[in-house]
This record gives sequence, C-alpha cells and structure tokens, in this order.
Amino acid sequence: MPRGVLTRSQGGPPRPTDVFLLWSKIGVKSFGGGQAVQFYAFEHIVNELKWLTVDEWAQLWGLSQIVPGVNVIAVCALTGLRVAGLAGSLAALAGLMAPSVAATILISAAYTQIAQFAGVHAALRGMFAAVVGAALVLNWRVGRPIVKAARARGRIALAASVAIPVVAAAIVAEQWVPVVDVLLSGAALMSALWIQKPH
Amino acid sequence: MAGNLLFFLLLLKASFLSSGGLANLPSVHQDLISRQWAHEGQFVEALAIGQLAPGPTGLWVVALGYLARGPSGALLAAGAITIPPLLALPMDRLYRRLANHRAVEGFVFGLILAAAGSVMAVLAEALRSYGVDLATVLIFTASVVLVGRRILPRGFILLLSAAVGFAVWVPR
Repeated sequence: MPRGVLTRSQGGPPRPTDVFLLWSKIGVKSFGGGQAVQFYAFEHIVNELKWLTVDEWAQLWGLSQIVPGVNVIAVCALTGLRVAGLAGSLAALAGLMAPSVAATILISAAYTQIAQFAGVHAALRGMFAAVVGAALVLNWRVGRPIVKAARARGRIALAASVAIPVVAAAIVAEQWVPVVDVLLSGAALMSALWIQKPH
Repeated sequence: MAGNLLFFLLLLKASFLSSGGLANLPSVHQDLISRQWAHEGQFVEALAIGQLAPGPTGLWVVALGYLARGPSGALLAAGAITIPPLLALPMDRLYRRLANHRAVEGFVFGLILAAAGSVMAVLAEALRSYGVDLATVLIFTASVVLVGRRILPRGFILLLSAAVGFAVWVPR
C-alpha cells in the first residue's frame, strides 16, 4: 500500500477508509499470529501515525484481555472505534478479517487439492509437532504472570493457579465432562479466591 | 441448513467461553468430534493452516470450517469468532470500573489457566494419534526453544519442521 494513503489524513482525524486500509495492511503482513498483529498495529497506530497514545493503547489492550474470543479482534475493533467511531470500528474489522480469512480459505482449498499425496501428510505431521511446541510456549507466557500474581495472594491461590491447568488437562484428556464446565469451574474457583483482599 | 446453524452456534459458544485464539479448541474439538462433523486429522490440518496463514492464530477455526463444510463452513466460522470480541465495543466506557473488580479479574485468570491446560491436552492427544517417535520429540523440542527464545520467525520454524517431516516420514 502506498504510504501517502496513510499520511494524508494525519492533518485531520482518520476516516474509516484510512482505518480499513491500515488494518488490512497490518493483517496481511502479520505472519505468526496475534503477537505479530499486535506488534505491527502498535508500530503503525501509536508510533508512526500517533492515532492513539501509549496509555490509550494500554487501555484498549487491557480491555481486549477480558472480553471473550480472539484478543486481537477486540483490539482491532476498539482502535477503529476510538479514532473513527462505529463506522471506523467496522472498517477496522473488515480490514483485518477480509484478507486474512480469504488467505486462510485459499490455503485450505489448495491443501485439499494436494492432501492425497503422502509427502504432504509427512510435512504436515512435522509442522504440527512444531505447532504444539509453539502452543506450549504461548500458554506458558500467558499463564506464568497469573501464577506469579496468585503467589502474591498466598498459598491457596498459588496452589489453585497451578492445579487448575493440570486438572483441566486431565479432565479434558479423559473426556469426563463437557469442556465448558471445566473452563467455567476454573474461572469460578479463581474468581472466588480473587475476591478476598490480598494480604 | 439446520446443521449449518448448529455448527455456527457450537463455534460461537466455544468462542464466547474462550480467551485467545486457541482457547476455543477443546470445546470445538469435543462438539464436532462427538457429532462426527470433523475428524482428528482435520483439526491437525486446520491448526497448521491457521499458523501458516496471515492474521490472528484464531483463524484456524476458519480453516477447520472449510475442511469440514466447505466455503460456507469457513464463512460461518469467521462470523462465529468475530462476534464475541465485539463485546469490547459497548464495554469500552464501563471498562475502568469493571477491570478493577477483583472477581472479574479472577474469573478471567481462571478461564485462561483452565483453557491453557485443556488446549495442551487436546494438542497432545492429536499428536499422539500420529504416533510419537524421535523425530516428533526433536521437532517439538526445537520449536519450544526457537519460539521461546524468539530465535526465528514462527513461519520459518513451521516451514523448517515441514521439511524435516517430509524428509523423515515420507514413504519410500
């Protein structure tokens, strides 16, 4: 995308079109999941275009953590909302999702065409082992700060924060109860422990 | 068509009860496998495609929708993961009060921890369904180290693992 499209609106407030173009650019070049998306979004929106301050960004990011689903989608919608209203929010979403969804569908379609070859399965098997490794790292990164926060609240909170993922894994592996019940039980337990004042 | 609606609602439920792109995996896995709407192999394929494609990792569901039900499944999946995060829009003004509420913070933390364990259980099961051998362990370990230390971009790690998998497991 030509730089001029983005810099032109720097004089006035960004329009929904600017928001759309920026987010499609962020979406298309973000290989490596949500972290890549957040990295590029911060680079462009805060550092380069100064549509939002660092504080405003931190606020959006915090909110994105407590709403359900993919955090980056929430960040995207919120940046659009803050800089160009509801239309801006829809424009941001369309910008992020349309190219990425299209690319995902194209790759899936291409995959179904070549799926019958044994080599493809062998390559996929290697890739999947790497995906599981990456997932372990990502879960560790989101889980560790929570365990640390729990430790500051005392032994019971610490024990719960370690036990919840382990017990959840065991229950889900054995398929004893619906996954949703497992997730809600973990959430309810931590919520109950968190209500007490930290010492 | 009734199948499409239920498919959409199942994905929507999973997304509403998740935080982050992979956290809906255990619920989607349980619901679709039990109805035989998708099989284990399609989850593996979709997760790999989701990592390869640009954009959020959460789009793995779109790949799964495509593999399980074609283009309409992909679009239903895209809708199902887009709606729940939009709760952020009406909450934008309320947020400061809500975020400081300890019960809310604890609830989200518990949800994240339970999802982390569940996700790893489902992934481990899928990995085991392929058979775990030395090459699997080596690729897994290398990925943990390379991603953990941010040594190589993730797309590059995936392509490298694909090449190793091709070299090791392709039938001759």
